Amino acid sequence: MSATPWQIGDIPGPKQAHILRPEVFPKIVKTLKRPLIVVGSRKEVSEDKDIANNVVIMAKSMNSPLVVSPSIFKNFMKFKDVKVVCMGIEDLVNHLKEKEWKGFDDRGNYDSILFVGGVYYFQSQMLSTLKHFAPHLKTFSMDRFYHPNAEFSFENMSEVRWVQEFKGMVEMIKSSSVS
Amino acid sequence: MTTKLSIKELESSFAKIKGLELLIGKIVEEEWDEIVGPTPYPSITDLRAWDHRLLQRYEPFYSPFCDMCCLCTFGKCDLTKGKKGSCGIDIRSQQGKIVLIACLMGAACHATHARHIVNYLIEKRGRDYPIHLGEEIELEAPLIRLVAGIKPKKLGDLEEVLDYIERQITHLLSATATGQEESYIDFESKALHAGMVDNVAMEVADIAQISALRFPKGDPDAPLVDLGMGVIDKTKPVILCVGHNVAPGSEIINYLEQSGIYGSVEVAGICCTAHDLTRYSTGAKIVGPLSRQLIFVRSGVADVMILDQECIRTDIIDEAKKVETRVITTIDQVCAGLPDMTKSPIESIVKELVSGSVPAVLIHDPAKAGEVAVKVALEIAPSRRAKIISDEQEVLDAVLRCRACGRCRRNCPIDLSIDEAVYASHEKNFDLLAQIYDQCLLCGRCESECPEHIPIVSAIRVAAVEKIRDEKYKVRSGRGPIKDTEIRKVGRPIVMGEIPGVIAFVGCANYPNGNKELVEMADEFAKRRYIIVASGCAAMDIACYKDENGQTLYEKYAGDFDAGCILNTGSCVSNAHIIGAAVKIANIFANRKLRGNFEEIADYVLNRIGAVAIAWGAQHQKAASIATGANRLGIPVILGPQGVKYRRAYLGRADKKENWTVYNARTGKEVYVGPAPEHLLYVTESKEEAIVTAARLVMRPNDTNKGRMIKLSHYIDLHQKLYGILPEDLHLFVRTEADLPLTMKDQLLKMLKKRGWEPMELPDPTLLERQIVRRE
Repeated sequence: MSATPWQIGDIPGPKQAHILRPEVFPKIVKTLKRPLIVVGSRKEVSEDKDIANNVVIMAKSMNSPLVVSPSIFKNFMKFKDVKVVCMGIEDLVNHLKEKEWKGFDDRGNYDSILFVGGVYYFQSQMLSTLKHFAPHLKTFSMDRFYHPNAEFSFENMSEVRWVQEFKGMVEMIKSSSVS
Repeated sequence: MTTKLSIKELESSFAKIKGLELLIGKIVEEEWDEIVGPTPYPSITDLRAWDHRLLQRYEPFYSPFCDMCCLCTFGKCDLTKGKKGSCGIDIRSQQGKIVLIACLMGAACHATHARHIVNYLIEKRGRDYPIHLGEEIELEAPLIRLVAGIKPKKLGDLEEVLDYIERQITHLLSATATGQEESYIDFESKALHAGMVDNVAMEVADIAQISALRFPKGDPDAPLVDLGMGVIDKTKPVILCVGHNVAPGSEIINYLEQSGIYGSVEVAGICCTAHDLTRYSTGAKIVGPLSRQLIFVRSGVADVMILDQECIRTDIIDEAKKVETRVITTIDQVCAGLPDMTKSPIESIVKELVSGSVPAVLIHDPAKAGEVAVKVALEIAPSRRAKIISDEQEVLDAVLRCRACGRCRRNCPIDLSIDEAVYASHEKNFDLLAQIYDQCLLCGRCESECPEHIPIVSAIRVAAVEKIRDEKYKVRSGRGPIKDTEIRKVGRPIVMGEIPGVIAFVGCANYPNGNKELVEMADEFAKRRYIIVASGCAAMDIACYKDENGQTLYEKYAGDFDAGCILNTGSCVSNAHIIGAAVKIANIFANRKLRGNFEEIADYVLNRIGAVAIAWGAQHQKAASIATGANRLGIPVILGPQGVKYRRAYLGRADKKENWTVYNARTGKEVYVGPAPEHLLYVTESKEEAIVTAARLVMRPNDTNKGRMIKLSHYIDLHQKLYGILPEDLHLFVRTEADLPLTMKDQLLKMLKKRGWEPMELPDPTLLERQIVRRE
């Protein structure tokens, strides 16, 4: 399958993201040993309480910490039963690209990084850094934009469809984690 | 450049010579008794050790834009998954190479700008015209003194400095060719070198024009001048200058004054040439930053447009032709395929332009270009105005073609919801388009992608016509350098940390959410009594909002280099005074020698001067070279999210304790001082992150307890206000209990103890072994 990058000119080269279907992701989740979810500062995601709740449910279900871009941290600090870290995304990526980094729990680096809610062009470049300099990581873009620099990315979709599919996916992840 | 021939003793059949020194090329009148430091006119490798020391702590962080290398006929080479190109290069070195090329583009722009303006001024005033920046400025050229090791006294002295800069740029550019430099770290060292010579070039250009064109000389009360698209009087003939080189614009004003008609013609500018026009004459007006180019030219207000150099849209002549604005290009960097009429008689050029048989010409002579511009504007304005009809209906008809395909948004550099705004216009709702105007970069990428060829930028202009009409602001004209007397006053509190920091707002207008965020940031820090300095497009945009009293920040705050003030140094090249202020502090306050002594001064700045630049809308390669030069001197720079497209940051790792040691110059002992400053070049995703990061990056190892307490108070307060929590990394910045803000001491101490915090030593910090006074 192929897709066009959300920003039409954002064509990096021969290595572009595999398309990830939201309904398939819950099966992949089971293969991830140390996931980390990264929430960027795009307001459409962080200011939508429903979406923010779903991101937190996903983190809990996957036993993943949440790294939240500083400007939106206030929207996530109320969630107590998930580890929420306030950190600049470039700083975070600089840590992630070091294979031996100890992580937020001193148990080592993560194996898979899930991005959601990032400013498109900024997130694209962060994914590029990880693509080139962090071969030890798998990267997933869960936004409604196709991000070619991720290893796996949702394809471009409308806001309405994305909300629906994202919630459905979180529900599936939650259910499978309970079972 | 001079060649020195020394003969200690020579005895021959025809002469007996003793102690002869012959300088070929230039008579040197040496009046500067400061000892020459280790690196006058440093070569590419002279400061390499310093660069490597910096880069060891602040490692290059790359975000490639492209997976491939396309720079030679071996390519395209795929550099993903650790693969190398045909020449052997890997992605890291290829990124280093691209960064170096970008910095060289920037440095070359400033170097040619400086060369053009110095040549022009020498021709006008002579080589012996004095460099003089006012009575309270004896240290006239801190960067030239520091790097070149000379004290320029006349315009002619600057030629030698430019020779050096041009030579360095050539050598550095050569290193980017296939088969030359291979190490990413050395590409970065070369980029730092390019940045340094860029900064010197800026200083050359600005001190030349301040001296010879009588710009304000460090005046905190430099006049307030008009800014905004709404300040242009359309009833008069309008001449618009776009670019950075003030020579042709100043000649327009000269000709108008000589003709006794200055005031009856509007002289306005876009981008840095606008700043410099108002420094030359307060009657000139600033339309706005470079982002206003397309929208203003399309308005058809300008009768004549003069282009000089840098930041000029490559399609602007075509746009001007559509509204019958006549164009004169004036500098060899922008020939634009136009006929060169430099040697034609003035009257024949005017005739051709007025008739429209030649709508755009190249005139290399600034005075001639100025005279032609005025004559053409006076002649065509009345008839042209009658012809330029409102295009509102045409634009409104065009938006009806929108099918909401969304391609405009997908080609927008900042992902604005243009599609929704244009489509809403079907129902005669132009509010969304008018809102887009507040954030839009006005670059026009949306309309070049539109399958229906809707002139979206024009539609935005029509929708926002009332806002544009109300764009009437005051900006303080660029004051140029910081006075020695001001440095004497604030040097100590800055170095001790008692003034919490110097925050510079610099760079272009490539903002993620419009210019309002920039104003909010500047206001936040000014209220907290940081020293705020600004330059270039950022200095214009800081003026673009009024408070409840109808005042812009320049009217609200004084223009001194002092706590709680906001000053505008001027155009891009005036950035030299911001960087130079740090050098001046080292020299005037701390008595550090400048002459060819880069490393020691950079070490001083890095460890002691809490200065940080925020380039919120950095776009041009010049911004890359300016920032990289500042970085070599130890000044951290924060970029807005678009800055990620420069592809390289310099990031520290606060968790690697071994990276944050300095020597205590008093004992020779290596001491951990915490990550201060944590990064040299850092990209932030949001305004909030930029503010808090700036408050963190102003911390320096040399801060006194009182100074660190003040800095921490702001850092903690901003962190709580904008992020909602106390900083998690507080323990890294508290050296002793005396650093802690008094009102929170108990609470913070408890928190620190939980984290296993232990007091640290407060050293006399240096990274240079040779600065150790005594070893214990």
